[in-house]
Amino acid sequence: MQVVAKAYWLPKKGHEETEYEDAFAPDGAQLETDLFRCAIADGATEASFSKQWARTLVRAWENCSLTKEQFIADVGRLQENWRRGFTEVRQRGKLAWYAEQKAEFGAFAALVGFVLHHDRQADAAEPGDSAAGDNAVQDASADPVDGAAPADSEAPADGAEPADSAAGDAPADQAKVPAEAPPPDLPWWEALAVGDCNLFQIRGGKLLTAFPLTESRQFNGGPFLVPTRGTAGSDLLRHTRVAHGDWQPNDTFYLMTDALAAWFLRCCEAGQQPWDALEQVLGTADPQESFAAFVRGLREEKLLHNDDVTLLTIHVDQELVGAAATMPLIACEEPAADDTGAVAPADQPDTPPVGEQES
Amino acid sequence: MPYAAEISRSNPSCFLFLIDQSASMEDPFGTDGTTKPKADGVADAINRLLQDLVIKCAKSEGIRDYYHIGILGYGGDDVTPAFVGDLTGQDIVPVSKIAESPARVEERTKKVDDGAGGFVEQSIKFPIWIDSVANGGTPMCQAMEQANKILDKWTAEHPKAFPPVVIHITDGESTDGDPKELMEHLKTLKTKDGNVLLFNVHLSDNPNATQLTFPDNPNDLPDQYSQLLYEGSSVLTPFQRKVAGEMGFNVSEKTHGFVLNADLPLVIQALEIGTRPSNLR
Repeated sequence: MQVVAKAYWLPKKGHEETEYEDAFAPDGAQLETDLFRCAIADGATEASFSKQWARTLVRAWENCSLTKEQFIADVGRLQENWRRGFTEVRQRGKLAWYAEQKAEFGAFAALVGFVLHHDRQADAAEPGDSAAGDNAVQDASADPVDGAAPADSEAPADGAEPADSAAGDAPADQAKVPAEAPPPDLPWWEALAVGDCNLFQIRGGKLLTAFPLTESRQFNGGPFLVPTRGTAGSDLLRHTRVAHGDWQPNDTFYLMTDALAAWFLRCCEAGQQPWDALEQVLGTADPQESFAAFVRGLREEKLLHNDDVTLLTIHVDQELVGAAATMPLIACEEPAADDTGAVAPADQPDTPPVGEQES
Repeated sequence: MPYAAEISRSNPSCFLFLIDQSASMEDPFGTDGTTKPKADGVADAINRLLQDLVIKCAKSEGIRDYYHIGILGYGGDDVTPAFVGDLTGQDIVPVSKIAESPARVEERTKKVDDGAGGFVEQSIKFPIWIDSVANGGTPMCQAMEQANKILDKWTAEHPKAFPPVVIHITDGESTDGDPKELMEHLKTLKTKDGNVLLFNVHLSDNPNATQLTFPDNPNDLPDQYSQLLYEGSSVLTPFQRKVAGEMGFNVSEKTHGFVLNADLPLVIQALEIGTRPSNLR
């Protein structure tokens, strides 16, 4: 399959680029491959070191498992690594009293990880990739994102219902959780999410999938997020959502952090096709700048909550004859990072480490 | 919609603490035999609130100045800024200055869960910005006048800000007149985002006083002092009610920012400066 992916981002209004706390990986790619993995994460504003934790998660995604239990174990290893790194920093005694106490609370980030498979059988044979044999479309045992389910709705608005249930009776009747398990011989995708970063799948000018949230009102600003502090894994397990579906040539996938995803769903609920607006914006000569201007405009019009914004677009098509090489394209530059992926002003002490599974 | 302004470094909000430092604050708190003076408890509470505010604004790169903070102490014959150490004499300072300038950092202990069903004592750093003071009369009217003056100026200078929050802690017996009108006037000060919010914390010696947090009626108040402070306090904003509800308090649209003989919860937790994970405690 041919995959073209590209990331676009903008910090919160009034913030510097170095204060941007979302993360994404990769930043851009154009390649022929049988397997493509990408992720975005959104570090929580209220915690410190969240941007480093968000980066840790997206970089580790390359090797993360797609079964929930294995994912919990992967996160556990990242948490342990983080704890060791923080202990070292603390022992150096350079943290201000408030930085130390704030860091004790831990860092938090929302995550949505995405995997495209070209061939179900071939991928299923690869160790450690995913729960390829699981026919469940979306884990019905998972709790919805905190506060996400409208209390007065009988509809499966959180998307946690299995198989053929759609998003419910919301105006966004186009927004659906994955509708059915892909036949074994079809190209397919998998996703895993914790929190309010979202995946959308567009096919033939229609919204085919919204995951894990399917209604704009589900974005309430207080989701359960992946923590650096090792809570008993059961909490994280309960809030981890997985889904999968099939893809067809010319499908487009979007991964979005919460502010943009909420706007996207509001547009859908109003009967609009926001992907058309996005594609128009991204089709210009300088798509990053066009995207930034677009986001600034939405903020000015109060259509977009002032927050860091990240969009990762993934376009998938049939494979190119004879092409096999991986050709990464640097679509945009993230804020300057040191070799650990952590961004910190020069006068600050070292930050906790990034995960040992980083690519 | 009121109380919806984004709190940011370019549009900060304000906290003003008013602390009763009269001689009666030397009396022990409550009627349960404790010997700790009320003034000590108040100083601890304020220092802890300041610590929470600083931590709220802390990021890995430092402190973000989301808030301006002032502390007025009233006792004896006058009202003065209560900061000690490098901030002595200053009435309103940005939170980064607070973070950088505790008068001292004490080592204290707290009990933490040992993960095995018990508790262990853990040493913690406890920064001090104000000391326990108890002296002379209770010039509450002067304090309210000074608060009006400071916030009249602050709201004029920050017309788009989330409105200032005033936290007033007292044992309730004003010695320079009835502060009712001055409290009411304080609550009329406003930015474009809403009126000043006044929380009153009453430390009462009245044997009939029970612990009350955020009542929505005056029925259980022990005396006229509590009544005055209850009536003088603001009604909680919708967002504060939401957070108070999540914290387990019964709230209604008449719930007041009034606390009797208890810690003041909520005011820090209900500050919205960005995504707060539900699993951040």
